[in-house]
Amino acid sequence: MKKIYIVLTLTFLSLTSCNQDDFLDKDPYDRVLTENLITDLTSFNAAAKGVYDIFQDTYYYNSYYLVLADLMSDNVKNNNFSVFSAIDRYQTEANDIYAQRTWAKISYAIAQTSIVIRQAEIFNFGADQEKATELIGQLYAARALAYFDMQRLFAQPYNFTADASHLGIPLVDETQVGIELINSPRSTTKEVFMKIVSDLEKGLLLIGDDTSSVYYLNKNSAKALLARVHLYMENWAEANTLATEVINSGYNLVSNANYVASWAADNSSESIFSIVNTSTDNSSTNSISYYYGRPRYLATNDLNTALDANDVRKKLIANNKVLKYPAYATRDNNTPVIRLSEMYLIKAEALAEMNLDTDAKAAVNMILLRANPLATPYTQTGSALKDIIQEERRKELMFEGHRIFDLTRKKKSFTKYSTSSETSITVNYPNNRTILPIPQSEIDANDNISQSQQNEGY
Amino acid sequence: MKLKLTNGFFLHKQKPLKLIMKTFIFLFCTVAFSFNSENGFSQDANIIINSDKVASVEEIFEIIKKQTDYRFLYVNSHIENLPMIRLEKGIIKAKKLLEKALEGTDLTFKFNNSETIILRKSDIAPVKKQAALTISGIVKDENGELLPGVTVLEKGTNNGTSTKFSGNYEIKVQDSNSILAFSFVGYKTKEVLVGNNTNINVVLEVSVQQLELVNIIATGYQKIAKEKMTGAAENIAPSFYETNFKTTLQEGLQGSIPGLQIFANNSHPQAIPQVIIRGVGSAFQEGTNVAGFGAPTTVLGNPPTLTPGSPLYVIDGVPTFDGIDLSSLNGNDIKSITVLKDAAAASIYGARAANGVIVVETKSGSKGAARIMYSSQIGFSNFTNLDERLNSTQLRELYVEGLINNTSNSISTTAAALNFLQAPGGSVTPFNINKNTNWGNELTRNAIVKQHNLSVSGGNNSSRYYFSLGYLENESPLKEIDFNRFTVRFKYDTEVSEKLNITTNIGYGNTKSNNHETGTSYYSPFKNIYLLRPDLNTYNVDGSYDTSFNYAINPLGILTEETRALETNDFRGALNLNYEFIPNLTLETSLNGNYRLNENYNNFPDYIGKGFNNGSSFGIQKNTNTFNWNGRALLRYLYSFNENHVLNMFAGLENNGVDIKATNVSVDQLRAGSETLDNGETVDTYTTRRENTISSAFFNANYSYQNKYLANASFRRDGSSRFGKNSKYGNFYALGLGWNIHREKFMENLDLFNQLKLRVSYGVNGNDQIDPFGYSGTFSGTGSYNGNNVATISSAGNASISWEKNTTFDIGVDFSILDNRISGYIDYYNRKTSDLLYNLPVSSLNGDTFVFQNFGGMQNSGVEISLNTRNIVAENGLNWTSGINFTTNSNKITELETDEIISGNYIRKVGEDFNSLNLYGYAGVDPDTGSELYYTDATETTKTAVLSQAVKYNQGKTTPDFYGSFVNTFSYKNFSLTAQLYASWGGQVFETGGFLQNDNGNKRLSDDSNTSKYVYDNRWQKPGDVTDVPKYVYGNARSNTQSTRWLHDASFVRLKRVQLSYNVSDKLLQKTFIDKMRVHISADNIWTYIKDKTLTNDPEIGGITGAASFDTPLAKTVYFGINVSF
Repeated sequence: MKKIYIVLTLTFLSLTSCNQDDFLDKDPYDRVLTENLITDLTSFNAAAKGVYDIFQDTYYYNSYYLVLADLMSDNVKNNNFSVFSAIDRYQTEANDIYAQRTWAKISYAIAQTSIVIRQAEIFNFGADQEKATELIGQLYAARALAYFDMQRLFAQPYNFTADASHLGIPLVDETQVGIELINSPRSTTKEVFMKIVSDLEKGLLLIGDDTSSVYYLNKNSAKALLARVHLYMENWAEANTLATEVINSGYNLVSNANYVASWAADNSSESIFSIVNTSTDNSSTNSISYYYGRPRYLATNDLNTALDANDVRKKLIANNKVLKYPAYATRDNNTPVIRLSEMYLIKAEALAEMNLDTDAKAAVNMILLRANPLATPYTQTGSALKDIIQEERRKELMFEGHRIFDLTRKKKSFTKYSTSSETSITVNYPNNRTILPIPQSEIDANDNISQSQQNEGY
Repeated sequence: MKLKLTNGFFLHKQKPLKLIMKTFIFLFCTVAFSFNSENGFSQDANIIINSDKVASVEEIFEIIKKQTDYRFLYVNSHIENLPMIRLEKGIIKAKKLLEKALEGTDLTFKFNNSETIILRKSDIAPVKKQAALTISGIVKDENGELLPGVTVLEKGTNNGTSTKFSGNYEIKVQDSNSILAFSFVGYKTKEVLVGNNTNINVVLEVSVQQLELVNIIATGYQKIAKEKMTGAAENIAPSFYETNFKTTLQEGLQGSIPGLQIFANNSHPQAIPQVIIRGVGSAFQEGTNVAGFGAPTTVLGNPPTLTPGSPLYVIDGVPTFDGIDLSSLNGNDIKSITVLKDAAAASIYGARAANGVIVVETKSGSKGAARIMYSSQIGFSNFTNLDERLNSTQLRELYVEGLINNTSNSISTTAAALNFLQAPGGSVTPFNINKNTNWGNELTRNAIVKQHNLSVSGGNNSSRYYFSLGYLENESPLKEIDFNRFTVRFKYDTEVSEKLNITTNIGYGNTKSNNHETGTSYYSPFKNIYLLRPDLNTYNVDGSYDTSFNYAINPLGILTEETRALETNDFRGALNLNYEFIPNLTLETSLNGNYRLNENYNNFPDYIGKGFNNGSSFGIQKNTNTFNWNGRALLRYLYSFNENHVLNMFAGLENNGVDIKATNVSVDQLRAGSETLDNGETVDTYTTRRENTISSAFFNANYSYQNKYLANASFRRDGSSRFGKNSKYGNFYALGLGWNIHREKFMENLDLFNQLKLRVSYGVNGNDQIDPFGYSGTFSGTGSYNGNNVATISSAGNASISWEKNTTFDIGVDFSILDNRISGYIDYYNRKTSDLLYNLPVSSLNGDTFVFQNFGGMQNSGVEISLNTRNIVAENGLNWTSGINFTTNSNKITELETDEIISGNYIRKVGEDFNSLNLYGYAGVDPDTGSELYYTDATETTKTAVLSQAVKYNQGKTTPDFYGSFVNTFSYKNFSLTAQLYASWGGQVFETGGFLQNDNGNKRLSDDSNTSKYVYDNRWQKPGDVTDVPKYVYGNARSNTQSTRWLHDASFVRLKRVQLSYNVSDKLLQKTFIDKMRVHISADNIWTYIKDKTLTNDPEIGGITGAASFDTPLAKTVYFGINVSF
């Protein structure tokens, strides 16, 4: 009988004695709770690299983002394909699914970087602290890029109002994101740009000296990005200084002879920051190489004729088909985010705006003559030079996701060619359709963005 | 006042005279007591008792009547339940004898002048004698199951008690002449003379009068007489699951009780019907995996296993994990299935009981010599109905017409059209009028179903055993799809000592099934019955499958060449200890474990792989191990005071854990004909795991006063690993009150009622079926960048997420009238869901687009009616019983943050049913042009042929208004005939694949372009035709519009089952070793009435959400069965 008592007592105790809080704390095996995300440098490294995986997504730098800026401009038209067809016709509506996807994916990059930065900053890495700090620097730069990309696509340019007081994109509450649900209001464009600049400057402060890989943000790419931001903000002196520093950091323009081939390579001597794409990353039909290779989208006749017959860049277009991303079969072209060419063009533009035409010409001619050694170097000055620099930007950076932003920040009117048969629309500055709508789904879900804060015209 | 209706209200069975006399007495009684009579002279007559015996009062009256000229006048009920009298041989005066007979009762008698003895109730309560003897014992049922709550009465007195949970009772009686009456609802009352025994153990027999239902409710925590319940709970009659051919139990339960709604939405052998108790109480969301984890068996087209809002299943005390797959359970091993519907009944399950609880108990052995039972059934099944498709001649006629109708091509004559069909160009298969394949015939069969069950049970005074083997083979009418099951079960109960009971329960089930893709999938063979052109070849000339189809795949090739096999091994084990410290205080501990291994094996040869793996063969092996355990310790205490107050309490602690591990390997480039995955190239492997735990403390108390007034309170506190620190614990409670009106004094003169009970309950339960880590943001490492593993946001956090709460109010009346001829209940319920867990869109700056939130509320209210009648009762003649049950439920959303949520084809709006459809309003066909028309808005005043001018609007709910069942059983001598009708009325079904099934030319000459006979028969052909099927136009681009054209009334009545059985007479069996033998022929689903004649699909395939897309219709099955016991 005693034995039975013991058995019963033990059974009872075993059921009741375990620590309830431990018993009820079950961490996931296939995921990790945000609070447990960073436990050492290795885990932080994985979390820090996560943002590149988001950059690499179809809806971001793998294809959507790259196509959009050219498609919305005079560079590219839709070849009767469903994706972006409304955007191509300038008939985008607030519930456009493609605008929504792009918005969401860039949002993820912002959330990812904000959460990881917060978690890393409260973690003590001990001996690995220095390396961790450098990674944190990278993340600040990455967040700045994401904010900048979202701002460019979903809000009017910096100079749209004199004091940049018009609505920009929302800035996340960095202390709450990933813990409680956040509803961020739209900030003013000025605030957004201040945030971008501050993130980049903080990044530059923390980031290390290692610039060996172009596939991750580093000191040079952060600086190049900041040069671009200052250009958009029309801070010409800063843009010039930063672009010059990057030019002097050891990159070289690809030769005329190697120019076309360089687009088939993973990276080149002028790559400053590129996103890696592999066949397995993009096994579907949604890659930039597939889009331009199939072709889903075509270069406009207007762009094609703008290129001189001797210009090596004309070889990147054949019968309106874009050849800049030639890996149609394997779908593994990397995405160039920042190249050295852009730095020369930033430098040229900034100098021209500061009325330093001679130096400006020198910079833009570097790009012209590399593309077409037979060309006559530019001699124009003043506004003509400024126009030439923009035209050169169009040719050099075509299909890399710049054109619409250049047109709007320069307040240019242009002709939008849509569909393969080229219906044309004249787009005068300012135009509601040169930016995408804040997705209706975001307005519906976000308590702090009201319908009246939708971009005008949507 | 009650007449003894020994032969019911069918007068032909009665002896008229007796009836008249009784009626007379009935009328007379009301005045009889006013007679003022003297003690007459005849009261000294001598009565001779010729032997010692025990006799009832009625028997004593008979003795007196025989030996004298006295007649008796009395109210029948007054002498019922009077104690037996011990008579000694000899002579006794009539008056003395009567005095003795009525001693201790409240009856007095008077002799009047006309030789009539009148009995009446005295005004003075009888003087209670001092109780002298203490009697104790145990009450069990025929299976040796302990019976708590049995009323033990000393006959003829108010002295009584009831058995404790352990089945024990103790009572003080006057003397050895006392008679104890043991009564319990559902059982025959048993009377025992005390005599010299102080320990009286009793076995109660189930009362045959109680139809099939034994009214003991097993909640999993306690067994309680239905009479004592304050909540709404009900047992399902065994006939609904015992001979069930369904691999999962649920379909057979359809129509068994009100409030339990079952949608048999698919005839796939492993399909799990959707089960809803009292309406949709949680948010169903299209395409959301609520568990936040790949459901264990879902790999490439296997049936989904999880339905949010489904009840909690508890098998032998263990709550099942994510729980709705009961396919490894054999219906023949089940002793009872109890459905707990309201808060008072289900609240003891707290956090998981929001949507009701279904408690399954398996069989135990019974005392006695080994009893062997064997049953076997074999039958055939086929689809109930298949939509009629066009043959080659008909389809060609449409093509020709359609080509001419299409004004954008150059074809305007039949000849040109026929030329085009013979040489369409491109990769399109030319039309071959000489071929006429009936894909329905090619792909379906008369399937064979069979099962065998063998059980051995027995036991002695201290232990009992039950052992069973079961085997089932269930073929689908769709070729190459089947399900096999083998089960073993062993249960052993033993009384180690008077105080200690141990029960061990071990079960094993093995299931093997061959599956194929279902629904609208490209690989779905069933879909291809409807879509494939009749002029296609099944085989090439060389006998191989024709694989040249475009936009379709040869379904016969899929069925025979691809493998999608699922094997499940399911082990269950339980150990229960029951220890009685002191009488009335018992400790119960139980440990249960359930281990399940799912092996999912898919092998697709090159030809199948073409569609999704770039032409390579492809294989997947996914194994999922699940371990689910439950440990519980509880103390029961029974306290009775003054013999009127009985308080039955238990309190305990419980822990539950689920651990699921999955391993998945995907391989391609398999060698042709490869049976395994070991010779291909590994594409992907992953392992994953999930653990969930629940820890609970609970308390329950039942109080009753004289069995008249009942009160129940329960409280449970649950902690769940699914919630964050802020909301880990939830408190749930319920209160119930009951009033057994029939036990009231004032009811004694209203003997119409055998039972009348009022019950009211109120309580709160919870639902935790959400992403287990929804309370926190999470990161996952599924991506990679530049060869590095990365961690990216997997889900956004919502630290404030908490339980969904379900508050139920229930009021019900249980009744039984006319000598139990009519019994049943009526319940009204109102369930309110608050803090509804809903996967809602959030600002994507959270790093996620949808996050579970406690948001909004909804309400389900309705009425449940259940009636059981014994229409004809005759001992050896015709018997006829009926069972009717009926449920109405109305669902509405009571609170939403926004005006409305549009989700796919559904609109969610405050005040509307949760499953309301949002579709274009189809306005028929323009008689002049033959083009389809749509309403421009919800006012349905203006029609347009231009879709962009029309809007989608609320087209009403899919949920039925009511559903119910009508069962009739006729038995005559050894024959019995049962028929069950099931009806569901007022719902709608939307055919999401309707535009494909009724193609209007859109699919051109694609190989999947066949259409329905309905389209062929009703299409618009010339101006003036009034029809709802537009003009057939080759290349018509609009027929895929999601409009009310594909919306149908889903009301139906179905003959669920007819069964004719014959019990071989004992006479015939006398000379054999067989004890009992029964044979039957049964038919399931053989007839269906569908209200909407244009609905060609099965009305049930839409399920709860009313969305139908090429799901296989129900199977009709005819089978023969035999049951023998030795």
